Amino acid sequence: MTSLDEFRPFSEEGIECPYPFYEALRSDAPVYEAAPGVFFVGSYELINKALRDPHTFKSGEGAAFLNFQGESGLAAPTKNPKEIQEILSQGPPDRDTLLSGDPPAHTRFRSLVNRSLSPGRVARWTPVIEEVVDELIDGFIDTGEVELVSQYSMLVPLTVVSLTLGVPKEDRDRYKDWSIRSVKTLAGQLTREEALDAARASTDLGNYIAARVESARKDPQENVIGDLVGAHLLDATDGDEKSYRPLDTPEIVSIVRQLLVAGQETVNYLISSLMLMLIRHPEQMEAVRNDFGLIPQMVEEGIRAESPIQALGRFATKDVEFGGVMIPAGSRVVMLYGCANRDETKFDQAEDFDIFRDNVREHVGFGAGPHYCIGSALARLESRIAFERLFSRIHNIRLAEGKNDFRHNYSFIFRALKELHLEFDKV
Amino acid sequence: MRIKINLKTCIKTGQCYYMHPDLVERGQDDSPIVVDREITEGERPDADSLIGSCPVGAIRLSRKTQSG
Repeated sequence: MTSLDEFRPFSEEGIECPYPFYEALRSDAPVYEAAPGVFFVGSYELINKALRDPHTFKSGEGAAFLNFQGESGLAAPTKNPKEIQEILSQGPPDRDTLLSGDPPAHTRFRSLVNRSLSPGRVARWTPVIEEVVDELIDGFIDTGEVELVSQYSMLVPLTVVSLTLGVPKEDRDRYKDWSIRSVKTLAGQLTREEALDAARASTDLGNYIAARVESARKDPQENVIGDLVGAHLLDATDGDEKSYRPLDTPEIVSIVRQLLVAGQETVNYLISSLMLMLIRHPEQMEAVRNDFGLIPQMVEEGIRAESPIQALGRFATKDVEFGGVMIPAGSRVVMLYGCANRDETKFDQAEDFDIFRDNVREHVGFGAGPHYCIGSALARLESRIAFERLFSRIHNIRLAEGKNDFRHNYSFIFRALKELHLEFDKV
Repeated sequence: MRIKINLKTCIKTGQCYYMHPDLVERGQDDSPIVVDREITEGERPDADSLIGSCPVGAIRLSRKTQSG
């Protein structure tokens, strides 16, 4: 086997197929100092341990965000360049609420948002999601072909999130434009022009959400913004006396933004990569088509095998010996979910796509512990419906010949197919 | 009222014991262990928050006042 330091995990080829590097990592150094002060954690057991120990491995101060710099690897998050800061300063001010928070403040915010996104609450969106998904399918079904990413997998979560936020129909196009442009920061390396454009879109979107929040304060609707406007945050505890306050607008915008960024692209990546794996395993696609009851476990296996979020970070709050390695206080500790999810000590034949594996739900694709994905119930619901409706309406789904190169976005953090061209027949 | 967790549905994310350590404890294998006592009316908001915290909907309140 190639030795660890011969791999170039940040190169384009390394990103295209990270799995040989992951395998070497798990067998040679489950905790690996990839660069001075940057440690990779790759084993299932250790990641689970670290994610459940927020006092040693904290998430705040931008720890979760990994600043991928192309060939030169991961750097500490830097301040945005001045020109970008200026653009962003025209939007609502930033607040630490969820991803960038730590207990106890994180717990208080999370408790409010949890209610809005619990399985029981998101289930109310089922008919609306079905309608949205069917409209998207209407858009391409008569042509017999589809570029799944831009015509479907990207638009399903985008539209669903806009509905859960209560974006009115007449604003959908603007919303769609802003959100597509602002989440481009996730796609990997941006040129200066692209970064400026993403910042402008992000500012416009922030101001738009703030306006929605203001109008919801006057007339709250049955949606996530309506829930948040009516919510009360635990503000102080004095003995048995607890006092509560409503969320301010920048806090709600911060929460909604995370929902949007985290919820939109990840589900996009999941739907497209899952479809590719199903095409490559026709017997499993057939099994699912014959029994939609298998779709939930298929979705879990998709998250395990091609985890949309491959890595998120933490900070070590103190010197700690972890997996036999000394990690000094202040180090960045990178949780390689994509690596842990292919750990053979946890998953038999971990390299194989197998929706029938018995521990299919035990992946760490949504993380674990206090920062476990807050939108997981919605992600699971959308993905299930996206496949149910597709499988109900089209069959004989196959790769469009000569059109696919199966390349992924150049990002160490997100695993995203750029395009997936398919042909199919109408049911 | 008592808190009940369906361990067949549970995927051990740990949300419950991180959010409400006074109501649910972390077991050896990261499974949740419900604190074995009645939930008072004053704890009802915390219990509701606990129920909402579970990403797979495995937690509920049982109206039974006595266990067993």
